[in-house]
Amino acid sequence: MITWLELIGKKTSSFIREMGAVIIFLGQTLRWTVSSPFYLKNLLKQMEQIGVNSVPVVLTTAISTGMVLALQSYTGFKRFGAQSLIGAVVSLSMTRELGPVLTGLMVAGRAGAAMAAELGTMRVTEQIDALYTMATNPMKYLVVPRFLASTIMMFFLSGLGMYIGILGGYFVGVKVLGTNPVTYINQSINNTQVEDIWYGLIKSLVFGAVVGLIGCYKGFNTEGGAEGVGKATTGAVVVSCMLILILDYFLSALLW
Amino acid sequence: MTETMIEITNLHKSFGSFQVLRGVNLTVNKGESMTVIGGSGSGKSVLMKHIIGLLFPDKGEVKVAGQTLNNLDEHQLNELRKKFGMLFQMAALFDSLTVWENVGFGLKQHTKLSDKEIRAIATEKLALVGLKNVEDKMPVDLSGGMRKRVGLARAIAMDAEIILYDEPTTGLDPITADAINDLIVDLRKKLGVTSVAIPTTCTAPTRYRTGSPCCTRARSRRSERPTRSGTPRIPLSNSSSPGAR
Ligand SMILES: Nc1ncnc2c1ncn2[C@@H]1O[C@H](COP(=O)(O)OP(=O)(O)OP(=O)(O)O)[C@@H](O)[C@H]1O
Ligand SMILES: [Mg+2]
Repeated sequence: MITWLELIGKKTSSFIREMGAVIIFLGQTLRWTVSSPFYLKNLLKQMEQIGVNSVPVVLTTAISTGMVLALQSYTGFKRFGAQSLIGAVVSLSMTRELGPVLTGLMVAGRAGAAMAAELGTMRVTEQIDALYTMATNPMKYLVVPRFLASTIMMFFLSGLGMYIGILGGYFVGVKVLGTNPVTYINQSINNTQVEDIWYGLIKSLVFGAVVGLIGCYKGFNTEGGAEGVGKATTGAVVVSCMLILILDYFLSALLW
Repeated sequence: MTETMIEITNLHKSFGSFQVLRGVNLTVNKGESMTVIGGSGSGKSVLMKHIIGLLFPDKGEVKVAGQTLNNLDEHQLNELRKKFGMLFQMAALFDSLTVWENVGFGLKQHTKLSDKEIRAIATEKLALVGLKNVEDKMPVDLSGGMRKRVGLARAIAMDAEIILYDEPTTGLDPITADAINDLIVDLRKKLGVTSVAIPTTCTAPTRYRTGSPCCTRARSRRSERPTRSGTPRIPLSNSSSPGAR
């Protein structure tokens, strides 16, 4: 019993200590974000790697979620004759919650891991040291472009996810389950406000920042060869997913 | 001619509880080539990283061109680093960039030269280290010795005043190694480059003996270990200590 509690205590305290280091890292990143020089080429390259290359996974996740959501809510709602509300359920959940969160988790798994692995390799092969010796700040050259690209691209990916999810829901709701298309669309539009979309997109900006920050932090602080790179990569995915889920609750409460 | 370029006094460095450097003293004058020798793991690379401000002393100080590295802010440190070229033991090439972009990295960051001009300079420096037609290759496509030479070309690309060579000829055949050593000598003689070199262990006795053209003075790392702290400097030629091979 004691050892159990001890273990939980240790894990928690090391997590909190690490979050402290992450916050310092965030401060440095923000400082470098607003000071010259700006590496536009690096930013564009990262926007492609993080954003464009994540489109397939985001599309797949979003469309399947939208379809499943329509199917499941149909089964439930039919019991009290509220089938016409499926449209509203799908569009509200996709915009406020599932679009940003699922996109965040998928991008964390794909791009966050890649970032940590790349920077981790650069750390253990002394490429980061080499940048310093060439009077180029690696925070500026490597971290800032990834952080910005991840934040910006998460916004668009999430928007795409919402849209595709809603389309998937419509397809199942109307074409497969035979709900009246006019009611479906009306219910969706009447119950979803522009703010709902903005809430989702604001969340996704935060999630994007988290993925970029944690991926870079873990990669940048890698120690100990190939094994270290592996640990950094896993760590980046685990920590950013946890933070996304934790922050999701607080953001939802805040943006209610 | 006796202007001091690098001055290290009483340098101590530990990693955790593992003490690597204890009271190292080293002075390198302008235009001089200093060689640091010592057994594997004795802290040669660690010492070199202190000179360019990648690591900072736990105790003692490092002065370069009259400035104490500890007292510099980030901007000043960067300005100072622009005087340096450094070849890493494992080359540390940027593997997302092509060979010529690696060699021209400093020029790209700190000069207004066009890509075409940078590429031309890169080609010229690559020729100096005996590499041709590799400009557009990626570092992963090169052999170990070729990577090392690209690293060397990168270290000399900016016409630095001070160059740090960490085992410049490791992994090279004797003929190429000779050519590289001649190049290092040339840089000192023609351009007055100040340098600190860690020689490749097995070629050290012949190539880097004090008085040989490659280095003007040599310092044994062994002598700065605690066992010999009373005699901080021993020229290689007088030393039979196993640490100073
Ligand atoms: N960043 C670091 N963290 C912990 N220990 C380190 C670090 N860098 C070096 N060391 C330790 O310091 C010691 C000296 O390392 P260094 O790389 O300077 O050796 P070296 O003299 O260059 O050896 P070699 O001739 O094999 O290259 C080694 O025992 C190494 O394990
Ligand atoms: Mg070494």
